[in-house]
Amino acid sequence: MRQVEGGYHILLVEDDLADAGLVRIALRRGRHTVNLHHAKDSTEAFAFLRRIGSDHARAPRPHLILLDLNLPGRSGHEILQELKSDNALRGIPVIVLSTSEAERDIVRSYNLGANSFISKPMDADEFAQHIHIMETYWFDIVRLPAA
Amino acid sequence: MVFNRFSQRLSTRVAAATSALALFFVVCMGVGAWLVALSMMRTQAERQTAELARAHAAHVSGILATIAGHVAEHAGDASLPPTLSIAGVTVDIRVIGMAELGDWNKAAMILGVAAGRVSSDGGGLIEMMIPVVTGSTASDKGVSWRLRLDRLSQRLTMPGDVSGGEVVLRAGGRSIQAAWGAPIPGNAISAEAEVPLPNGFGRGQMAVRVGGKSKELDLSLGQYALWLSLIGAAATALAAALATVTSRRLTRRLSALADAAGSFDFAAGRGAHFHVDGDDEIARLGKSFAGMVERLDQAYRDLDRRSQALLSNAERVAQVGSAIWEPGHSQQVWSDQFHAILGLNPGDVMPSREVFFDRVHPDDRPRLAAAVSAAVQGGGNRVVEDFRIIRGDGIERVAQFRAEVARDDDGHAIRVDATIQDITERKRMEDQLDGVVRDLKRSNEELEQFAYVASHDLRQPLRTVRSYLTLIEDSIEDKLDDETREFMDFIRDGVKRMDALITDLLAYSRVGRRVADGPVDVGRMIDLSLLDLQAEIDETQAMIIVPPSLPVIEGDSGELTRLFQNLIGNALKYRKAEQVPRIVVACRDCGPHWQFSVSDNGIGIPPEHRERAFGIFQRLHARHEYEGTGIGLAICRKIVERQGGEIWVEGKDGDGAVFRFTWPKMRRAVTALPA
Repeated sequence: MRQVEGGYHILLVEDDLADAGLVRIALRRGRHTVNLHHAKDSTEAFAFLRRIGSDHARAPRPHLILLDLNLPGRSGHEILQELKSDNALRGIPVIVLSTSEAERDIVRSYNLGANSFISKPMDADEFAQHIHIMETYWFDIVRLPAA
Repeated sequence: MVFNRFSQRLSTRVAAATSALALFFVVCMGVGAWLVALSMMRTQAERQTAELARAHAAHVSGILATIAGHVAEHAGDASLPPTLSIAGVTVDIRVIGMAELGDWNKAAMILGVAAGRVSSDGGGLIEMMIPVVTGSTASDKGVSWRLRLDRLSQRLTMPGDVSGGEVVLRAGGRSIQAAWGAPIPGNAISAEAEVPLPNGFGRGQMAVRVGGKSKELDLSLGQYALWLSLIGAAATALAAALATVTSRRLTRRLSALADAAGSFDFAAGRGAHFHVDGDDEIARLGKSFAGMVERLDQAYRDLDRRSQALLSNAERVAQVGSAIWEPGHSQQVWSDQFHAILGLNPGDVMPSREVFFDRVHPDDRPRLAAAVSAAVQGGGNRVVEDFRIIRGDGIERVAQFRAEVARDDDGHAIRVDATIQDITERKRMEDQLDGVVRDLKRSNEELEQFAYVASHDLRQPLRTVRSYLTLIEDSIEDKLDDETREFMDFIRDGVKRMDALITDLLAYSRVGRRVADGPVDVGRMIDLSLLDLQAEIDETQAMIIVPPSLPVIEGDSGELTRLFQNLIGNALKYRKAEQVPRIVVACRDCGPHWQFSVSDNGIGIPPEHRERAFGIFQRLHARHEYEGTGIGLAICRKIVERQGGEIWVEGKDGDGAVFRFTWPKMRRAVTALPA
C-alpha cells in the first residue's frame, strides 16, 4: 500500500450534505489517509482549486476530484468543461459521482473528459464499498502526479 | 387537270360517265352491225360473181362445142365457107393439106383423129385440125378452124357490178388467155369457174374468172356508215343530256343533304333540316338522317344535362369550383361552384380576371397573380397556391387555387384550366392538429423531464434515508430493541418499495422511446430473458418449453426481451405452491401478424380480474403473498400496443393462465417520439 505524506487530497463537489457525509464516512473507514475537501458549488470548487480568497490561500492541489452533476448554479458538466479547459487543472483526474443513470449524462461526462463515472448506490454499505474500490484503484494501482 | 376539276362535281362525273357509256355502246353496236352487213354483202357478191363465172364458162364451153361439132360435121363438104358465124362468133375455116401439118398433126391426121393446138399470141388463138374422112379412111387432107378467144369473150356480157373477166384454156400442156372489160384489180371481188373442154379438144380445161367492185355495195356501206354516225351522235347527245339532268337532280338533293349535315351543330342546339322532296331513296335517306339527328340530339342533350349535373354536384360536394380561360383574355368561364366559392351567383357577374381578383384578399393578390403569370409564361405548367377570399358578405374564407396551362405544339399557352377549393375547414383543422401536435410534443418533453426528475431527484432523498438508516443501525445496533428494529425494517421496506415503484414507472414511461427497431430473432430474445430469470428458474426447478424454431420479427430487441421476461417471470412468480412450474412458449402464424403465447400451470387469473391485470400498478395479490409493484403487465401491454398488437390473458379453468399477444408483421406507421 502506497501512502503519500500527509495523505491524499480529494476535492468533493457536492451540494447534498447527506451524500457528502456518506463519502466522508466511507473514506474514514478506508485504508488510506485522505483529506476530504468539500465544495458545495462551482464557486467554492474553483475558489479552492485556484486558491482564491484567504480561506484557500494554502489550499493543496487535490489528487482527485469527485464531482456531482446536479448542483445549484453551474452544473457538474459545466464545471467539468472548465476544469478540462484550464491548463493548470486539466491534469487532475475527475470522477463523476452522480445519482443519474441516464445514458446521456454518462456519455456527456466522458466526452467532457471525465475519468470515471460512478452512479451513487442506494445502500450505504454498497456506497462505502464503491468508494473503497475507487481508493484502491486510484491510490494503489494508478500512478497520480504529485500534488 | 381540267377533267379532274370538272369531275369534282358528282353530277358532271355521272353525266360524263353515262354519255361515254352510251357512245361506247352505240359505237360497239354500229361497228358490229356494220361488220355483219359487210360480211353478208360480200358473201352475196361473191356468190353472184361465182355464178356469173360459172355461167360464162358454160357459155364459152357451149360455143366451143357447137363450133367443133359443126366443123366436124361439114368437114367433108367441099363447099365449106372460109368463115363461119356460129352463135355470133366468127370462126376462120380453111382446108389444109398434109404438107402444112406438123409431124404431130400429120400423125393425128393419118390416124383419123382430130388434133388441135392453142397459142397465146393474138389474144388466144385456138386452132383445130379435123381430118376429112372419106368412106372409112381418112384422106390426106383436113379442115382447120381457128378461133380467137377474144372474139369469143367479146360476146360475153357483164352485169353492172362486174367490171371485167378473163378466160383461160389449158390443153395439151399449153394455156391461152383472153380478157375482156376492165382488168380485175387485186382487191376486187372475183370468182373463178372451171368446166371441161368439149369433145374434140382432147384433154384440157377452161377456166373463166370474173371480178369487179360492186357500186351497190359501196353505196349501201357508205349510207350505212352515215346513218350509223348520225344515230350514234344523236344517241350520245341524248344520253349526255338525260344523264346531266338526272345526275343534277340527284346530286342537288344529295348536296342539300350534305349541306344540312355539314351545318349541323349539337352544341348550338340547332336541328338540321334534312327534309328532301320526293319518295325515293334520297328522300328516305333525308328522313333517316333527320330521325337519327333527332335521336342523337336528344341523347346529346341528355348526356350534356347529366354530365353538367354530375359535374355540378361533384363540385358542390367537393367544394371545388372550376374555371377556364385563354391567356391574354380577360373573359373567363366559371362553373356554378366557382361562383359560389367566391360568394357570387351565376349570372350576376360576367366572369373575368378582374372580378376574380377583386374577390382575392388584397394581401394575396400579387402572389397569386405572379404565380399564374409565371406558369403561363413557361415557369412550370402548374400552380398550387392558397389564398384568402373576401366574399361580398364580408366573410373571409381560405381557398386553394390550382391551375394547369395547356400549350400548343409550339409551346404557346392556349388555355388555363383552374380550380378553387374552399379549404377553410381543412385549414382550421390543420391548425388545430398543429396545436395538438405541439401539445403532444410539450407533453412528451414534460414526461421526459419527469423521467429525469424521477430517476434523480425523487430517488435521491430515498437513497439518503436508506443510507443513513443503515448508518444509524450500524452505530446503535446493540441498543435497539425488537420493536424498534421492526420499525426500522418497515422504513427500509417502504423506501425499497418506493424506489421500485419509481424505477418501474420510469421503465414504463420509457417504453416506445427507443427507435432502434429492426429485425429481431425472437428465439434469441427469449434466451436473453431466460438468462435474466436464471436465479428464479433454478430456484423453482421450472420446466420451460420453447419451440426450436421461432420467427424473426420487426421490433426493438430490448423491449422484446423485457416482454418475454415479464411474461415468463410472471408465470414463475405466480406458481402454485408445491408444484413445479411448467411454462410453454408458442408461436402461430396468423397471416398479417404473429400470435405468441406464454402458458403456465400457475394460480391463474379469475376472469373478472383479467382486464385489470394489465393496469399500471394493479396488484391482484397482497404484497406479502407475491412481491412486485404491479407494473410488469402494464409494460407488456404498452410494448405490444405500441407495435400495433394486442395482448390478453385467458384462463385454463383454475389451472394456470395463458397470456397471448399478437405482433404485426408490418409495423404500423407511428411517428417516432423523441427518445
